[in-house]
Amino acid sequence: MAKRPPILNRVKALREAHDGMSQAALAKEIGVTRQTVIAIEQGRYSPSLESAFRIARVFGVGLDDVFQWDETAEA
Amino acid sequence: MSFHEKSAWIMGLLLSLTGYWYLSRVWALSDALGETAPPVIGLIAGATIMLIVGAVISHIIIGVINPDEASGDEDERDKQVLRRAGNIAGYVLGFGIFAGLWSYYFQRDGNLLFHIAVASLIASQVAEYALTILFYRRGM
Repeated sequence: MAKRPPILNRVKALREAHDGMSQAALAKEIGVTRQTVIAIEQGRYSPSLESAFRIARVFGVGLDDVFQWDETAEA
Repeated sequence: MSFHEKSAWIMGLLLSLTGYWYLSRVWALSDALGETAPPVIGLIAGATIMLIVGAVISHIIIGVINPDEASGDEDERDKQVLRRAGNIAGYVLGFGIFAGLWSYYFQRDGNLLFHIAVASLIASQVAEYALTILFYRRGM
């Protein structure tokens, strides 16, 4: 059974706060497919470090503001 | 659903059907002969042609439905999913070939070795498509 990565993210909230940016638009900005953005938002995929930085730069925030380690998943 | 996932569904179904068709023919032929049937090139060619025609038609259809995705490159997630599915499928192929070699060692039946190798190829490809779908759906 595939295991979900222990990383939480606020991509959806930031996208919606960013003038309701669409998943397709964000995908284009960071160079991935819309399905990958959906997977990131749903916590099914942890992006590469490069894509994580690209996402943070799109929203003009730091990496920590987008991604957080899920402490509860470590137990 | 991404283009690669759609493709994996289609190819998995097509290969399962053509693989079943091919192997059931070999089984029936072996039953009729009373021994393992020799490789029949016509059967292999028939299964290959069915698979290619089915794959081309179905990929044209999903490409026409969503041309942007079909013409797009693989992104980092696609590459990771496809690489991992391919790696595990390699073990399925290796196990099948190993089983075939052991079978040959004990039974000295080259025809059986041939069919086990073909079945292993089919099984490993089906496993690759199934794992691709699983990794896309459940995450990695």
